[in-house]
Parts: sequence; C-alpha cells; structure tokens
Amino acid sequence: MEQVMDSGVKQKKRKLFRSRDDKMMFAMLAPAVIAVFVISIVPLVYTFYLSFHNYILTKPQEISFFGFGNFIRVFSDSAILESIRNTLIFTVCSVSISLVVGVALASLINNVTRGKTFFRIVIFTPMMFSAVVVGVIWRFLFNNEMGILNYLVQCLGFSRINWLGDAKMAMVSAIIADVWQWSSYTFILALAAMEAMDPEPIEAATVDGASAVQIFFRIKFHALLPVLEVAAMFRFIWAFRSFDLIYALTNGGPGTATETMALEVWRQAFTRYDVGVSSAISVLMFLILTVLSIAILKNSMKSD
Amino acid sequence: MKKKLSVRIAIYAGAILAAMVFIFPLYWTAETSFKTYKEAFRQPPQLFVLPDFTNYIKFFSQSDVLLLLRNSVIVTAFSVVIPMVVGVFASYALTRSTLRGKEGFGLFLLASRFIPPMSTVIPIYIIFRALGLYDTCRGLIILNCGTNIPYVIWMMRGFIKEVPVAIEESAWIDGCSRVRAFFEIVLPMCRSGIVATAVLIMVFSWNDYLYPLMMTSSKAKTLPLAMAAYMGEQGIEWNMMAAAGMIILLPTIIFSILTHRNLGSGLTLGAVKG
Repeated sequence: MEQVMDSGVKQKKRKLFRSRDDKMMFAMLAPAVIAVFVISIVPLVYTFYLSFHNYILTKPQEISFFGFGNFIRVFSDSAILESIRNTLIFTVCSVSISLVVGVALASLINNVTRGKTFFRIVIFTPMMFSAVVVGVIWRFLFNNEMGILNYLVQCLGFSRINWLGDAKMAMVSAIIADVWQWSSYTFILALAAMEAMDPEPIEAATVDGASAVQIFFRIKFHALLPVLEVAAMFRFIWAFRSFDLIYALTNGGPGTATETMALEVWRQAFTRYDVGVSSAISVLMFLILTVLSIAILKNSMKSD
Repeated sequence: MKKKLSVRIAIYAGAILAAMVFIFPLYWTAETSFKTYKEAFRQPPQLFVLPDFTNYIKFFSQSDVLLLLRNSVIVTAFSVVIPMVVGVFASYALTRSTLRGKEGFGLFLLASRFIPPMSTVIPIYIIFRALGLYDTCRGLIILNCGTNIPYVIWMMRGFIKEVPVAIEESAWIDGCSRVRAFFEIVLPMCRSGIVATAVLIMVFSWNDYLYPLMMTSSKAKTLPLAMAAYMGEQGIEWNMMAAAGMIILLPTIIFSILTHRNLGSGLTLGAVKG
C-alpha cells in the first residue's frame, strides 16, 4: 500500500523533485530561502515602493504617489549630492589605502620568524572590534585640546592639527580610523596567501640576484592578485555602506563634511521624517552596490 | 636561507612599530578607563596609571546596564544558533544536492548578502511598529538572522566542498543514511569552519549598532547603545566612555585570541572559495 502511494506522490511531483533525496534537500534549503525572502527582499521591495511616494514618518495616513519626485529632490539637493561625493571619496580612499597597508603588513610579518603569532593576533584583531567603539576611541585620540595625537604633534614641534573640526581633515581622520580597523582584513588574507606560496621560484630568483622589490612585483604580486580582488570587492561593499564608525567619530560633521549616504538615509528618515527622500537615497545605494555584487558573484561562480 | 642581521633587525623594528600602532589605541582606552574624569583631561597626558576599576563599578551599577547586557547576550545567542542551524543545512543542500534550480537559490541567497542594511531599515521600522516587534529582542534576532543566514551559507560552502564526496558515498554504501552521514561525517570534518563561522557571526551580532539604534527605544536596547549615555552635547565623560568601550570590546578580543587560527583560515577560505 505504502509503496503504491509513495510512487503516486513521486509521479505528481516529478517535475520539481527527481528523487526522495531532492525532497529532503529542498526541506534543508527552504527555511533559509524563506527567511531571507521575508527579512530582506520584502522590505527592499517596500523601499522601492516608498521611494516613489510622498511619505512623512509621523503622518503615515497621508501617503501619496510622487513619481520620480523624490529622486529629483535627491539630485537637486546639494547636501545630499555632497553625501554621495563623500561616500565615494571615503570608500575609494579607505579601500585602496587599507589594501596597500594590509599587503605591506603581511609581507613584513611573513618575514618574522619569532613571535609571528603575536603579531598576527595584534594586527588581525581590530576588524573584530565594534565600529562604534572604534569611532569613539579615535574621537578621543583625535581630540583637539586633550587628544594624545595632538600632544605628540606638539612634542614634535608642530602646531596642533584640528583633526575633527576642520572640514578637510575630518574626512582624512575618518579614513585613518577606517584604515586602522580594516587593514587587518587584507592583512590576514594576504598573509595566508603568502604562507601558501611555493618558495621555489622565489629562492631561484634570489639566487639569480633579483632584489626584494623585483621578487615582490614579479612573483608574489601575481599570486596575491586573486585574494586582493576579493578583498577589494568586499571592502568596497562594507566601506560604502558603513554607518557606525562615522556616526560615532564625526556624526557627519563638521557641517556636512563627512556626511555619507548611510548617515543621510538615517537623518532624512529619523530627524526630518521624510521617508520618501530617505528611501530614494537607499534605492541609489542599493543600485550602486548591486552593480558591484553582480561583478563579484560572476567572479566567484567562475571558480566553482 | 639566513638573512643578514641588519635586515632582520629592520624587519623586527618594522613589525614592532606596526604592532604599536595597532595596540596603542586600545592601550590608551584601557588606561583612560582607569582614570578619573579630571585625570582623563590632564595635560600632559599620563601615559601609565595603575588599574583602578571604579569606573567599571560605576558603569555596572547604572540602573539599566544589566538589562542591556542581558539583551545583548540573548540577542547574540539566538542570532548565532538559529542562523548556524538554518545556514549549515542550506549550505549542504546547495553544495551537495542535485536539486533542480539550486543555482538560482544559491545566487539568490548569496546576492542577498550584498543588500545594504540601510536600504531595508526604514520599511522594517514601519513594519515592526505595525507588528509590535519594535523594541523587542525578538525583532533584533529576526533582523540578525536576515544578515547572518546568507553569511553562514557563504562561509560554510567552502568548508563543505573541502569534504571529499567519496567519504560520504562510501558511508552511504555501508548503509548509513544520508542524514546520518551528514551529522557523523560531514559536520565533524567541518568543525573548524563551524567554529570560525559561529565566532564571526557572534562578533557581528554583538557589535551590531544600526538595528538596535533604530529598532529599540528602552526595553530591548543592547550594550553598544550604552555608550550614548556619556556622549552629551556639553562634553564627553571620556573615562566612563572608555570603560563602556572596553566592556563591549572585551568578549571580541577574547574570542579572536582563542580562535584566531580558525578565523584566519575561515576568512581566507570564505573569500577565495566563496
């Protein structure tokens, strides 16, 4: 009896499942798919919907269709445009500098023979830190009157630097703090790649009289390239959407000098209650990152 | 191949300098957390003071800090356990099944990792208000699951692929069911990957600031929000802020020291084979 019923069910579902095994696999996969759909995709669609509407957070019943009105407002508001510019400057500088610093640190520590584990832990740990705490720590270090950095600057005979109070320096300071936290990511990936490298070509090149610089650019760099590609793409995504660090360090200031898109989304919605414009900025953020993530996924699927 | 002494000295000098750059901000925060309000502002700064835990006692004797700590622990625990279970199963199904359309599901799950939280947080706020999930630990756990499940799938894919299919197949031939083979062969072989993934999502959930900032107001506030109490418009109580910061950092420091080998190889495998 059971067998007959079983085969009946099988025939009906043949299109979806080729075997009982497939059914079990589907059951293993389904909760993740459903969870991600409900928690991420549904709100995302809602964001798109809101971006085409006039919606004030405190007056939800007065929602009305606004077409591309919010996007027009985004592109004609100089403060929002500055936040887009700031986001790009912050992201490009932080990502490229942290990549260079991370690789430099990895090549340095790779040559250390004693105490390598100590150096590895010390340099690796900042990426595990809460970004808000990192922002606060650097806000303290950068403090104009009593910060330790300005104390050191004065000891060296220079005049104080207004790290967070000056519009140009504030962005530099934010990038320094972010690079401090995130060089560790490139560092750990690059170090692993260097440790896995075949030492033979390097030894052969040394015997032939190649300099350390030549060896790095001609041999090691090629082996590092795939790792660096991945590190660059992930770092770009994280830096582009980072909120906590700048929120704690400068809160977008002075003025709008370090205001980023993530901060602007939050400010528009929760201090100006303008959900429409806020959603339009989030849609822009999403679209920019989607283009990038498609590039990443294509790259990672290739290696499968 | 022995390097020249001068080269070795230069390497160590560089490494020590680098280590100082990475340790100093943390050292300085720890020192500040031992100081009184006035000492924290003193010029020239005192580079070394003896440990004094007055600020920590003050921090924990605030009325709501234990609630925040409790919330942080609860939210973090569930945000690790649920995504690990759901994610490891899904990851196995994605790497080892012959399911039709699995590439599509895989792409969907992995792509969702790239949605910036900022792009979904406003509608979630509206939805949570309507559903009564606003200012609840449940709400925060749901949101962390949304972030962590795709992450677990991404990380574990690399580790599950490393387990040779042949080992599993020979177990099936010996009459071991697929589920049993999964629990008794595949999972134990991925142990280091499971540890790395769990520690990473634990740290992410513990550190999370955006969701608690926007989705809680009093009952479900988590520990990172405690910092805001010392960030007045007039001035910042740096000594108390440093103590609060150290408390938030401490578990992440301990876990990264204990599992640094796993984390390193986990991140590398996740990045390269992802």
